[in-house]
Amino acid sequence: MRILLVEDEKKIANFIERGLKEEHYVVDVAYDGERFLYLVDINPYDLIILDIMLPDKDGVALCNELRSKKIDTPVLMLTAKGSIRDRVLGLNAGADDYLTKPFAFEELLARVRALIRRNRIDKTTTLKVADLELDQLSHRVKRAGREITLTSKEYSLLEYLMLNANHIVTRTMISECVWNEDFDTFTNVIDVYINYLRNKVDKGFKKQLIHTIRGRGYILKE
Amino acid sequence: MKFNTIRFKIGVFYTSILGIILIIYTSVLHTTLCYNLYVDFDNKLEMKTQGIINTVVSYLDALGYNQRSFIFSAKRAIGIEEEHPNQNRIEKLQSLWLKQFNTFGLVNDYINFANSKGESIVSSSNLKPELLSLFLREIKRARDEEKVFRNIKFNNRTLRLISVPFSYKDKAQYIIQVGVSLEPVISLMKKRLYFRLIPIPVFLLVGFFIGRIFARQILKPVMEVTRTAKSITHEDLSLRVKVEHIDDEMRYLVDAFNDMISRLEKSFKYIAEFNSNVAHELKTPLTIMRGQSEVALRKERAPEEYKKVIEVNLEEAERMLKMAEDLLLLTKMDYRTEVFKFEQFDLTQFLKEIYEQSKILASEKDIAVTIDMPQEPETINADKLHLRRLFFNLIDNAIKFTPQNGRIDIRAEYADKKATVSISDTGAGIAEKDLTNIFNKFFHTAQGIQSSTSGSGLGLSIAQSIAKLHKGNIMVESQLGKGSTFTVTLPLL
Repeated sequence: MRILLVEDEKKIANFIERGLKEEHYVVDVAYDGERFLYLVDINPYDLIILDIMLPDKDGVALCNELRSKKIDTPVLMLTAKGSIRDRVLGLNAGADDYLTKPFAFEELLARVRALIRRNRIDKTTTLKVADLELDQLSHRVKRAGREITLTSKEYSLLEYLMLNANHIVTRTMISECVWNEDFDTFTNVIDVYINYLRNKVDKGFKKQLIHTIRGRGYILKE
Repeated sequence: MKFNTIRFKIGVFYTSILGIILIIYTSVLHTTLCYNLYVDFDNKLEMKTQGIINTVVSYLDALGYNQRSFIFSAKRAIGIEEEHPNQNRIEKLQSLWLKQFNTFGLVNDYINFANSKGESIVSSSNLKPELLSLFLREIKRARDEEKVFRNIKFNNRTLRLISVPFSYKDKAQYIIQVGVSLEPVISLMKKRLYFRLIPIPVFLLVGFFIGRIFARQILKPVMEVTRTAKSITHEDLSLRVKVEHIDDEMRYLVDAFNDMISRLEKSFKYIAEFNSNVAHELKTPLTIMRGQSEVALRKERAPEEYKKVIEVNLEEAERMLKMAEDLLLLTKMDYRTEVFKFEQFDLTQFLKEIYEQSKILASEKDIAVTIDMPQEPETINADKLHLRRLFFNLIDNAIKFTPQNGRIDIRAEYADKKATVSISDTGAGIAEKDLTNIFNKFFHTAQGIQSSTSGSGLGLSIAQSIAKLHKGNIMVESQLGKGSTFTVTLPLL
């Protein structure tokens, strides 16, 4: 799950980024509107957290611009302005939800999860493929009832594969959705992480779930 | 009906004026009528009397004058039958007089002939002794004058009495008195007076209501103002009184009212904006403190991580404190200028101190500070504490936006009773579109927001307010990427 955070206050951006990363989200941060527009152009995001007061452009205008680019990524607006008028303005501009500063971090997480879930057909928070289970709330992964401990990156990768179960995902898709802007394209880091996952998820089981499709990418299926 | 209203008062005012006019008019009219009626009445009375005198005279002419003839003539003239030896001489006159007698209506009149001594000689039969004595009382005056008119009250009736002296060929002096009842005249005048007085209350009532309607029409805008004023709340100040078809004076009132509401709306908007800015500025540190504390508490962490969180929280608490102080200061400068303590001191010495302290502050970022200023003392009348605040706000900004190893130049000049102090830096500079806004409260430049030590957005606003309180000014020149120069001008003694 890749999230773009747009926030000009560095300290606010810092703790949101840290908190989200600890929840296994992949986070990019933009400190102004220009950077935001650049990032949404080149990367696919599952969610955008957008502060309404930015130094160069305001969030409402940015949201309008985003929607006019036919990007329908859910947008969660963050703002210090809490009046009904401001909220309506934001929602009319194409934002999907609204959170007023100062907010409880748990509420932010709950809204982030809800917005990401909204785009899926299956609205449950537990992903299942064969006997492999992933709980998106507690971040617990089980195979045949036995708990598997994963690192943050491994978790994100597995979640992505499971969300796209039975579909081929390319390395580019993985790099865009599981890694953030700091990802270096010329490394084999994805293959390395796939290997880690295989060791933890498939090793010792008769049935292999993670398959390599030569020349194309990976697929997770029964 | 309320009595304490302008409408009522104008109604009463109209009614009073109308009432006074009607009463004056009626009394003038009535008096004139009375006078005319009396004159008319008196003329007739005189004519009647003259007729009697003429008759008596012509009888005497025919009969020849002596005492008996006079008595006979007088009796005949007032219709009392009596024999006279030379009666045949007056047959013709008799028939002429009878006609006149009826025309004059002498039957009901009281007639008396008296001699010059004031004794009654002949009087009409209806003249009772009591009345006769009243008649005789008037004779004395008549003897002195030509003729005398008098009103006599008798048995609740009023008589008009004329006493006329006459003589027959200078032989003897007589006085004729004719009294006629005034009742017809009085009753006519009474009737007329009633006719005039009865409609007055009706006129007054109509006047009162017309006055009220008129007043209501005039006061309509006042009602409109009241209605608008009532529906105006602190939430909606957009209402205005409509100004169509109203009198000039009312238009002034309505315009003044509307202008006042506009000013109120403006200042409410300003307050609302100010409040929302304050809220926003306070919410940022609060969001940081709350958010990062919550994130930190989500799981067990190393002590260093907690320490970092506490440090940042402390920084943010200090930022809020600073802002609260800044806001208080701004309020003081706007509303309580008496907190400023002006004193005379040497500006040269003061600037040297500022320079020394700036060097210490700038040394943390290895920024060099230079000064170029006159050495002779120069007295200024200013609030030392706040003037320091002004310069340090500018110098703090300069240090904040100037990168490591940059330079800050302080330059001072005294000329024309004016001190000009400029502070130039080699920092980030200010975008041209921001230059007009930097002195506004809560304004942040794009660079300011992204710096790690974001201020309250009040520093320059405070500096400018302090300069203005000293009748000075701060101006700014800047080039993006090259640096900014803030120039402070202050009046000298």
